[in-house]
Amino acid sequence: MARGPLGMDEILESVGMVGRDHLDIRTVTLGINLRGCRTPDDVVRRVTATAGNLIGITDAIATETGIPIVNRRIAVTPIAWVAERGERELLLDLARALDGTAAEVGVDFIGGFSAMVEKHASRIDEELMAALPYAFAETERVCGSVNIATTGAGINMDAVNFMGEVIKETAAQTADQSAIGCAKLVVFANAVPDNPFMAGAFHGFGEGDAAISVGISGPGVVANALRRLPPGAPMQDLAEEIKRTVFKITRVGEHVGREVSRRLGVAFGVVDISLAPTSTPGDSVAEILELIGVERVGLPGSTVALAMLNDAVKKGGAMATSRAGGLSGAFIPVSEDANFASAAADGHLVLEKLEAMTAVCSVGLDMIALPGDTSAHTIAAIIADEAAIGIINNKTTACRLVPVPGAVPGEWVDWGGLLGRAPVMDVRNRPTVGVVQRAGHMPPPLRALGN
Amino acid sequence: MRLITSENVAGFVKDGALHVDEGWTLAPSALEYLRRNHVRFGGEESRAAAAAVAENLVVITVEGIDKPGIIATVAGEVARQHGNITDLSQTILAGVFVMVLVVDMSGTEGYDVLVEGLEQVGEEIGMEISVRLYSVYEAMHRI
Repeated sequence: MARGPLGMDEILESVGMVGRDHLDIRTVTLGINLRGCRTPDDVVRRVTATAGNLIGITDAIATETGIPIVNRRIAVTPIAWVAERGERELLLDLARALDGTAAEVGVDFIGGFSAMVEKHASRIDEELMAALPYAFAETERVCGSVNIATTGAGINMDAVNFMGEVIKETAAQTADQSAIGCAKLVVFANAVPDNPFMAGAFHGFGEGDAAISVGISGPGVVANALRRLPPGAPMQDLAEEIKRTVFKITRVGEHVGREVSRRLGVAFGVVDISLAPTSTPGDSVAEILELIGVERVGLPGSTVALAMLNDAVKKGGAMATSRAGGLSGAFIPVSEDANFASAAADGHLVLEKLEAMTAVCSVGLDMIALPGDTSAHTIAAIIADEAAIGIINNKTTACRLVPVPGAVPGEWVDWGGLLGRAPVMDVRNRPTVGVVQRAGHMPPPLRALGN
Repeated sequence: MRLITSENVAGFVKDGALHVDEGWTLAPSALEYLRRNHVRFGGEESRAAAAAVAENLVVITVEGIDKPGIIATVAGEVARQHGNITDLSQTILAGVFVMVLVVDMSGTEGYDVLVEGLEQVGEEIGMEISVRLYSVYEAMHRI
């Protein structure tokens, strides 16, 4: 790194990263602690008092820095920890309160209609999980998540079983909108308390009263950096270039996050160093994999390309900030990345290859449209497989699966906006799955004897 | 132990510095507040002052078709608003006139007024002018 005043080349490079390469802050997420809020009115008061200036402040910072801030979100304490009782109507009142207050302060999503049940579900946890389909049917902006496994606790197979049913019911309750409710529901293994990205954001234990976290992005910036390398450059040169580029993106994210935190008067949380694609052309993670040398994403070579990308992203980002957190890695949401969606439509990308790819990158099976007749057991079995990858490898994995009522493989589903569109993927569906039927609890993996 | 937290810390800050009597203890939320608001402890005055200067720097970029008088017009507007140019580079990139100025805007009436004036000038001479805080570029390129 050079020292002294900035040179023109450095300034013009930054200008180009924003104007030409779509560098932006993907999300500024305000985490709000709801402890002590006893009624839906308390929730509304707490959220509006903390987040009232979020939109004005982020708009001003985006103008002054020239870095677009694409989304502003709110994450709250998991509602299963806030709710006093488990009555369905009280839980739905809380969901409605979150929805209303999100609209009032001007954010498009509010996350945290959530429960942590990796070992056992409490009565309120169970009631919240059962209320999810109706909460999503009645609200527009509420997102929720359920953590069903951790490396320390193993997998709660009872909860996995139940979530298969919950996802089917959510699809049924929002069938008139192509099961959009399922796009707001994440089933996690090793959920993190400071993830700023929806739909899985919540304000976890140990996060204080409120915190600003930032999700960076910029697949386009990384893609264009790779395009500038000589053709046939060896893998280590690509890794080096990605590190350099992500370093710069992360510095911008931290700077913007700290400025929002200062002006809003709340603590600074983390920078989530992620490459999050959108369906805008040139904003694709799949495109980076294709530039690395995979003809179409999903073909052999995709896993190694993604592993290198993910690792280089983390190395560059971790050097740039000491406040890295959240999910930090490359996202591969099928409907939100035009190149992933088209590779799935053309038959190059199948569910099993996606599962393999989730072992080496951030998160998991994300925004995948499944046939309407996929059974609850098959969905639960996919969730359990994904959770196993997470707990064995000590990483976060998640499932955001959307069984679209009436849809068949190959048909396109369009959720509009950021959620994008995707072809319905083929799945080896079975009406019952024995491993799911067993339910119970998968013991946590051994962490000693690692040689 | 009497606690200074984010709730009452403002009462202990005078002229940008923290004044604490014996018997008070700073809670983590108060320390966070001090960092965010650049409140200094003894001996940190110079660093806080440097941060204040950096906050007043903006980068002005000017792009468009080359014609006589661009530098004079833009610099004239900066001078009219009592901005101080601390760095200036100009070149022709692929046929396009590109100029970058670093300006200390502490003498001006503030960011919004400066931007308004420069945007108007940009329209008059048909150039694309943007004004951004210097600190974001510095964050990207300097550790």
